[in-house]
Amino acid sequence: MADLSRRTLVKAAVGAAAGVASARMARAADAAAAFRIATWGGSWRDSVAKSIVGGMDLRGAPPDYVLGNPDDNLAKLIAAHRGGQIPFDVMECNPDQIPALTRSGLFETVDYGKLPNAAAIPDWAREQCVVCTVSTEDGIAYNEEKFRQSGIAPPTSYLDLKNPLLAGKLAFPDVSNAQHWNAVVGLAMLGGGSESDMLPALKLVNELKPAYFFAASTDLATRFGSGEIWAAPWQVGWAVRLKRAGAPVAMAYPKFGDKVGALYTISVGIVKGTPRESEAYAFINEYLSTAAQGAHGAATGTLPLNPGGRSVLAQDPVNTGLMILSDQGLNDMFQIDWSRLDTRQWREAWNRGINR
Amino acid sequence: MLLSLGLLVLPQAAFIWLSLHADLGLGQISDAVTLENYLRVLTDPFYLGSFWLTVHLSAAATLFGLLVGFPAAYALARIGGWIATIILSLILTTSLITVVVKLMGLNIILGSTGLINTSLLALSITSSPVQMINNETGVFIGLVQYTMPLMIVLLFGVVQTIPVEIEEAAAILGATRARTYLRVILPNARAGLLSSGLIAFNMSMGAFTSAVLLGGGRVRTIPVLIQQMIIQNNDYGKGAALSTMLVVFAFLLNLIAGGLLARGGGGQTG
Repeated sequence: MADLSRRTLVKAAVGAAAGVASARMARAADAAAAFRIATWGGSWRDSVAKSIVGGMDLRGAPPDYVLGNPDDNLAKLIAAHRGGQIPFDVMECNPDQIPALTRSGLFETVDYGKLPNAAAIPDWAREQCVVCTVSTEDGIAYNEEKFRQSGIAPPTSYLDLKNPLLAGKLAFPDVSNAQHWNAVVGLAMLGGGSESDMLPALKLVNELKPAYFFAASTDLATRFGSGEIWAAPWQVGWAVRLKRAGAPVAMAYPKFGDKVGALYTISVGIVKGTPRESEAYAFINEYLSTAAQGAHGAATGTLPLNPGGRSVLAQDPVNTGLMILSDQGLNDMFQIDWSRLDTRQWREAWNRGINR
Repeated sequence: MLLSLGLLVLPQAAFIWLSLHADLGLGQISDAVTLENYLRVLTDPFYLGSFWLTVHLSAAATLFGLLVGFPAAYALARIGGWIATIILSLILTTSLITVVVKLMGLNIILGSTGLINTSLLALSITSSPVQMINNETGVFIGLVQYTMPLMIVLLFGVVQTIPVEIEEAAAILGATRARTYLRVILPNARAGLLSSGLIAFNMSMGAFTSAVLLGGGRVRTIPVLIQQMIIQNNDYGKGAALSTMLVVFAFLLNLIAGGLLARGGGGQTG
């Protein structure tokens, strides 16, 4: 009886293992057949699926989403590349990654002849290995109701946040948050520095004495909505979402030299060696279409680089009240020269220099 | 044994191998074997300070967990019956909730406009909000909530192995409740306290989310620096060196504790 039970147990275990293995093989086969997009999760992924992929014919290669922020996804790509794997076909990335990605050889050189919709975007958006699709608009988000009640004037500069009335009410993007970069470069410029001389920013951030450094914008949104935080260097997309939820949020765009406000572009690159190159080009081309840009911009609060997409956003008064949507406004916004900014060195300096 | 080798030893071996190579950028490492990553970490006061921060926060959270968790586990074990079952089930259920959700809840409750601070202000106990998050205190609270449920469940099992008769015998012989607790129950639970404490300490040493969500960007523990090095900088070598040092430190500490336990006889009831 004991032998029989043991034999039955072994059979069951072998059967289960075989089942798991076959399921894994089936999933691997599905993954190989799928068109894999590395992108952010949550509402961003939903909008990519609806606004962009929804307009494509992907019957031969159903979409599959590899979710994570660009740093996470780049780490996955590097780890997979080490093992000779291709973990996804296209990847959305941040601008700080572009110089290194261009040197790395991990992405294909973009053939703009296969992207007719790229004709509508600015010249600077057509990079060698990635295509800039949309951008965040970075500035200072603030609670206009609290500011008014406390007699604080709307900010026009990051240095306006050095106000005793904002003690304990100010948040600042941590080094892991995308909105960190424009804020610290803007402060460096105010302190007489630049992308290649960032140390003045450390002193000024310490003088601002933020209540905390936020890593996740979702976390800040909660605290902003509750009234715990009144102001933060942030991006307009979150201000739009909070405003629609009824929060009294306004947006100020500080000066960066002769520029007003700052862009933080989102780009798409095609992973070298992908078997889904035609789908990858179709995806990027669709991403740049007026319809997709308008719908994705409206859903995520990002700025379409296609002027037609911006026209779609301009129909909503919440967008026009908070965002800079004109062609002139876009051209007048600041962009970091990432080739001059040593992000690794800055992270080290930040870790060591920020008052804890 | 083979499963342990596959799931634990091999990934660690791969990481140790990575730690012995210099970073070349974007996840690439040099061919030459070098101790450079270890030397840089061990000679840099910033990393040594981060190690100390990680250790003292983990130790404090563990000690607090034992001080609060053991009496709770003792009470549950002695109450027994359906009440203990329900409470233990509730404690276990909280472990199933993702740590991010629990920490975001703590963020709301402990914030300057949260339930605790508004209550303190309303009752005039304090004149301004108490800073309970965005600092080391916040991370400490996060580590306690992370390890406490498991600690209570483990210690519940430990207390159940201590016969209630020896407490009764102590009482008959004239021992007070406090004396019985200190001289009879705690010595008998020593092995369980040590092993539960070690598990909680090890969990805290590797905890990342509490430091990120409740530290407000100010508490740079070793797991936070490892994430930053590997995910943001793609410096696998240096990140792996930090990770290896964390594992070796915890392993040595566990070995020492195990040795002490063996020498002391484990405090088992005779």
